[in-house]
Parts: sequence; C-alpha cells; structure tokens
Amino acid sequence: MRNRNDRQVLLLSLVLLGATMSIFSGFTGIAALNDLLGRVAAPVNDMFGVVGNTLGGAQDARALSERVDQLESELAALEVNAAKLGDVSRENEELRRLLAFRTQRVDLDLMGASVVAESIGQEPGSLMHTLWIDVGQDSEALEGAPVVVGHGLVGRIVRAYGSSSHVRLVNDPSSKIGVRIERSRATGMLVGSPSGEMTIDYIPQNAPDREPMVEVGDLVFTSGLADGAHVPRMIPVGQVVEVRQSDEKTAQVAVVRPHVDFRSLEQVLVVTEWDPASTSLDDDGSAPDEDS
Amino acid sequence: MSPYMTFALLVSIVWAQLAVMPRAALGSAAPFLPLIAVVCWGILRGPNAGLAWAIVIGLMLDQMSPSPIGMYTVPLVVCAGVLLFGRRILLSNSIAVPAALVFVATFVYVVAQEALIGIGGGHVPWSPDTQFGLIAPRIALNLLWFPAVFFPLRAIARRIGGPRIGLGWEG
Repeated sequence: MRNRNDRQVLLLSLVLLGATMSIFSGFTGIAALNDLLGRVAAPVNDMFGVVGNTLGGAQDARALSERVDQLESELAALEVNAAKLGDVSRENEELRRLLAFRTQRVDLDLMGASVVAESIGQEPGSLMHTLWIDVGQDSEALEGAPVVVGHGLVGRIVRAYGSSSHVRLVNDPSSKIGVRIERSRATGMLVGSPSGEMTIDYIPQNAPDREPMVEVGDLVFTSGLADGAHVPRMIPVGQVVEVRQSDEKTAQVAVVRPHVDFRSLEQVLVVTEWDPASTSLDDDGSAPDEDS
Repeated sequence: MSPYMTFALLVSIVWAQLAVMPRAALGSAAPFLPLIAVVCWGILRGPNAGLAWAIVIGLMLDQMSPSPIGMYTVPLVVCAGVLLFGRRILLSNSIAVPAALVFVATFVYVVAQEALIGIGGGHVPWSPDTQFGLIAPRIALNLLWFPAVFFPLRAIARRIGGPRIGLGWEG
C-alpha cells in the first residue's frame, strides 16, 4: 500500500517538474541545466549511435554485396547480348548489301536466299587463295559460277560438289579475269599472285596528248570475260593504287586493291545465271532509269 | 607406332593447319605445320620416314585444295629430299641443324610450289623483291613454330623407340 502511494507521489512530482520546466524553459538557468544534461548524455548517445550504425552498416554491406553480384551477372548477360547484337548487326549490314546488290543487278539470277553461302574453310597453304562455301550443285551452284558480295567480285567456283563448292578467289595466282578501267574504258587482264597482290596486265600504253589509260584511284570493273568464260559485266573489283610503266614494254601494269576483304568473308552470293549480252548498268557505270 | 596412330597424327597435323594456322597468319603468310612436321620427323626417324610423311600429308592436302593433285605433295617430297642432302653435310649435335633444315626446306617448298603454279599457267612474279616478301615471313613463321612441332614429335619418337636413322642429332 505504501509502495503504491510512493509511486503516485513520484509520478505526480515528475509531472510537476515537467510542467515547471516547460513554463520556465525561457530562463537561463534551465537552459544551462539542459545544456549540461546534453553534454553528459552526448557520449552515451554517440556510443549507441555508433553501435546502431555498425549493426545497420553490416546489414547494408550484405545487401550491397548481393546487389553487386546481381548487377555483375546482369552486366555479363548484357555484354553477351551486346556481342550477339553486334554480330547480328554486322550480318544484317552484310545482308542489306547483298540485297542492294541484288536489287541493283536485276540481270543476274541470284536464286534468292538459298544461294547465300557461308565460307567454311580456307586453302591449307597460303600461296593459293581459295575458299570453301556451303552450297553446291544441289543449289544450282555450278563450276565457273561467279561468286560476289555486295561490294565486289569474290571469285569463281572451280569445283562444285553436292552441297559444297570450292571458290578460287580473284587474288589467286591462277585467276584471270577480264576487267575494264571505268574512267578510260581501257581493258586488261586482272591476275592474282601467290602473295595475294592483284595486278592488271595488258593495259595499252598511254597515247600522246590523250588522257592516260590508267591512273591511281581509277575504279575497276569486270569486262565480261574470265579465263575464257563469261562473267557478268560491271561487277566492281577494286581500285588502282599503283601504276607500273616501262618504256620497254608495250603494255603497262596497274596494281589493284580489292574492294572485298577476303579474310573476313562470311556470306557470299553465287551468280547462277545471267545474260552475257546485257547489264543493268549503263556504260558509264550508273544505274539505268526505272523506265528505260 | 601403329599405322592407325600414325594416320591419326598426320590427320591432326593437317587439321591443325586448316583450322588453326590461318589464325596465326602474318599478313598473307601463315605457318605451314606439315612442312615443319616432315622435316622434324625426317630428322628424328630418318629421311625415309620423312619422305613417307611427305607423301601422305601432301596427298591429304591435295584433297583439300581445288588445285591439280600434286600441288602440295610434290613440294613436300622435294623438301624431304632436302633431308637426304642435309644428312650428308650436317652431322652435328646442335639444335641449329633442324632449325637450319626448316629454313632451307621452307625456301625450297615455296619455290617448288610457285614453280608448279607457274607451270600450271598461274601468274608468279619472280622479281627478287616479291620473292623476298613472300618467302621471308614464311621462313620466320615456320622457325617460330618449329619448337612447337619438334619437341612433341621428339617425345613421340623417343616413346616409340626402335631404330633411329636420323642426321646424328638427337637433342
């Protein structure tokens, strides 16, 4: 009973003390007392704060670590996706070039997508320059058929099997392609070499007071003959990068840089049929009008 | 070594040449493992063994090429002949012997294959500059790859034992 009275007295005293302090809180003495209590309690407060922060920090670190792991795995997945996207983008670009070539050269029968072939191997030595492609006689790819990509001539099929073919590149030493210099209309024979360098032989010497037959920068196209057989005309081959002239010879030689990077070929088109007498390009190398 | 094991080894050399060596190319030049293997085996097991390898590997390579048959076999056989010549003049115990033979064999191989290309109607510029640019990187690459072929083949040769009719050098 006595304890109960004591508690009531203590509670009443605290209430009175609180009321008194709130009434006199503007007085200096009370403010000083508050300050003193604050200074005494501050270290204890800080200590509890540090402990709390440490415990909270450990939890945060765990959560952050999990987040980092998650982000790293997401990054890895994104990198894989980016690589795939880059690959698809390159393939898309190449296919667009092939499509543009097909649209431009309506005189060539390219047999649609079934003749888009992927290179599946390279010549075992490096003195000869050939490629295997994964289409053959089953896809109407026959020996002698020209092989092209969107920006130029690749070569010709020299051996066709059921579902694969061997393509001799234009820079192979055994390759001989009739070509024409776009600017001067001069013709010559494009030959490869063991080193892969392509040269045009049999270009006539320059006549006095006339434009030179061949100059650095001239564009080179097929003229319609290759090794005794027909090939489509006006397929781009490359650009002249050097002219070798000699007064002792009746012809001059031009070194040609191919438009096609033979080391990075992935998809090609096999020309299965064409009309040797016609070309969809005008003689000046430009595309004809739609109604012509 | 049984014929089956030998055949599997030769197939793997040809496969490595077709699948791996294009990635080790320097410009238009690539190392030519079959040639290095023929020279090394000829040194380790005698010129006749090298000649046998030259014929088998050469025929395999000819099958992989659209060129007329013999474009690989003939130059490799000629290189195996270099071993017979080397056997008479290079009887030393130095590692320089197989390296020197790879050097000479690469030169001989390139010239022999170019000659065949020329005979077949191909265009081969024989000017010294062109030839140097063609042969020098191939010699350098073959010498670079020579240890990677020689030491495994030497381990195989030692493992199978039997008579060794080499050039006098065993390492």
